[in-house]
Amino acid sequence: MAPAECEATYKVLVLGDSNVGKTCIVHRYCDQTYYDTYISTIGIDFKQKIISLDGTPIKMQIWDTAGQERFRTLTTAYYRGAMGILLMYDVTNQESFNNLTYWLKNIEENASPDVIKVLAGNKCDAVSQRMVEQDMGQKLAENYDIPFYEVSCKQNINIDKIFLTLARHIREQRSYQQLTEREHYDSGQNGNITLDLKSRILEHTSLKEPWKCTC
Amino acid sequence: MNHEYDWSLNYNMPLDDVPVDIAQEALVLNGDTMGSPKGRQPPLQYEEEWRSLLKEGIDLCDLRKKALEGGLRAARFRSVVWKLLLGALTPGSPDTWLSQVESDRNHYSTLKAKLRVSPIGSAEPQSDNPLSQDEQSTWHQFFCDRDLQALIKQDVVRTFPGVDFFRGENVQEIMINILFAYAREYPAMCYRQGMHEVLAPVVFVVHCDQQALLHTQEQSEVSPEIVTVLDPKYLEADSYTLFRRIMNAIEGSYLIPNMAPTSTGYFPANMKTTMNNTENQVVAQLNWIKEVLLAPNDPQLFQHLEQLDIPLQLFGIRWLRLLFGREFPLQDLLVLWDAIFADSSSFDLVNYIVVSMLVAIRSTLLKSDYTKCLTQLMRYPGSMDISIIIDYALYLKAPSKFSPPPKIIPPKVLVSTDEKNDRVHYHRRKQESESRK
Repeated sequence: MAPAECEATYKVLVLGDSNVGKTCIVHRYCDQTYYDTYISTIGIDFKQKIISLDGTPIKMQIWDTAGQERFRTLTTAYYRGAMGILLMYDVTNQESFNNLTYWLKNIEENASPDVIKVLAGNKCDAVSQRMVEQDMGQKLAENYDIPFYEVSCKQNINIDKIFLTLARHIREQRSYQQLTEREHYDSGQNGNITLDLKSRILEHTSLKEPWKCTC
Repeated sequence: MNHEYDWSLNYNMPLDDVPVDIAQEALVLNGDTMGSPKGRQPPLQYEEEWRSLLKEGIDLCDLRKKALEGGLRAARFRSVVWKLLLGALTPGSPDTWLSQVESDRNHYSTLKAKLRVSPIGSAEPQSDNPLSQDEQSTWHQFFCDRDLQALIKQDVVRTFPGVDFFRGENVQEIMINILFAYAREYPAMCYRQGMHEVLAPVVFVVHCDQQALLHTQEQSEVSPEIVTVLDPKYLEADSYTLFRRIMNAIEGSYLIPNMAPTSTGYFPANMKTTMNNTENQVVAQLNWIKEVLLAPNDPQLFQHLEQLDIPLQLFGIRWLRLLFGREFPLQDLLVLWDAIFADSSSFDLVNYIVVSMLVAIRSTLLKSDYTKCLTQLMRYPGSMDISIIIDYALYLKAPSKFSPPPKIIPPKVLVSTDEKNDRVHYHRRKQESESRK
């Protein structure tokens, strides 16, 4: 499928502590490959995959980040235009779960306020080494109102599902935005625009159209 | 990504193996891939090569020239050359070298001894115990050390998965020790991801030199000073000496303004994470490269990247942090580092190499869309001729001193870079003042 036929491009960031399996999940999803170890990501890496979202071709542009970049060095350039975030921890590593709150704070401070988030607990195949129970992840996800899956790159569990969930939510979000934009246009015609709505839409247009020519 | 960073298979040797003649092999490699007549001179005899280093004057004129021309590809004393270029040995005073080597080794062993914290049998069990919250307690230090070592190990075990040399437990332990010692000697730097891949080629080069010595010793007598300088016992200490000098020059690629990492290698958790106001040094450097070096030298490519909204930091952070370690095969990378070290102690050439690398693939970039461009830049074609990249970088830096390589398609140059070079170079000034310390 040629990229030009794609209906839309969804930019997705993969975030989480070092060694939770971010590069691994991206390779599993985009290339259907799996290795036990991956070279550490420095800065950011990039892959893309064209998927069929209920019959519509969509380009998933996935940005794989470095785990140690939690603070500051994750420059705004990375966050710019991100529509979805796959936040990851490792069920065999308690620390990576504990740090999720910092990651969520980081997202809140830097990403678009309506960015779609999903939470993944990786390495759920490693039964004997598990440190974080599934209901812990579930509870956290409910608190933040984000979808949650335990996944395994090694055994290819829930990988497609979690990306598809992300893509669906992004699509919903976008159609909602288009709707409000149309409302905005209509109400603008009638001169009834509210300040609140206006500012929200300005935000959308600046954040969601990052690939346009800026010259 | 096991297969993407394909270091030369010839060097996948375990640490204890006696290697094949590195010089000969590298020369063949050189002839095959480079076609450069410069590298085809017959190799000097081992001792003769050493004596040529002793004869170098204080400005290292001949050695620098050789390094910039890619003439060290087959060198058997590359680690010694690097020490000279990086200031760990005083050029022109070979009678001081042995004492300098010894002093650096002592520095490292003292540092290591100081860092070996054993909390067991603490004199003050009331305040110094495993549950102590006191940051001065040896127990607290012990746990911090353990966390940091675990963090380092996580990256070290993943260093160049396709290269056997780095799979050896011995080498991995050496790397962890060095990175840990560095983090403690330079707490503002601590350990950051990427440092392990700056260290890796260093350990490899020191190891190769030591193996070349062992190999030569099997066939003939070797001067005692060489035996001391390349004593395999000091792989770790000698690698540390080189590593911290390289890090000194590229620390800006790692430092984060107004923030020091905690002693476990993590950044303070409660820190506000907004980064709009204070830019990272590495981002500032990349913007500088784009505006001051790329824009005037290749306005078309500059415009293209601007239009696609591809800032240099998307790929450039990795280029700079690893000194291009993932962009070229190992043997080419070492030649590139020879040139960087030889050009100036502040590694100014790095900025021009970034532009050179971009211009070298400009025709592909110019006809590529966003995705293709990024893919090219994040997976830089490994088949690029490194000598062209270096020659063009040198030309960009000093067009009056160097001529452009014939093979590169020169973009329309509007402004001479010599003028630009006169501008204040925040980076250079800072680093030069540091390296003088």
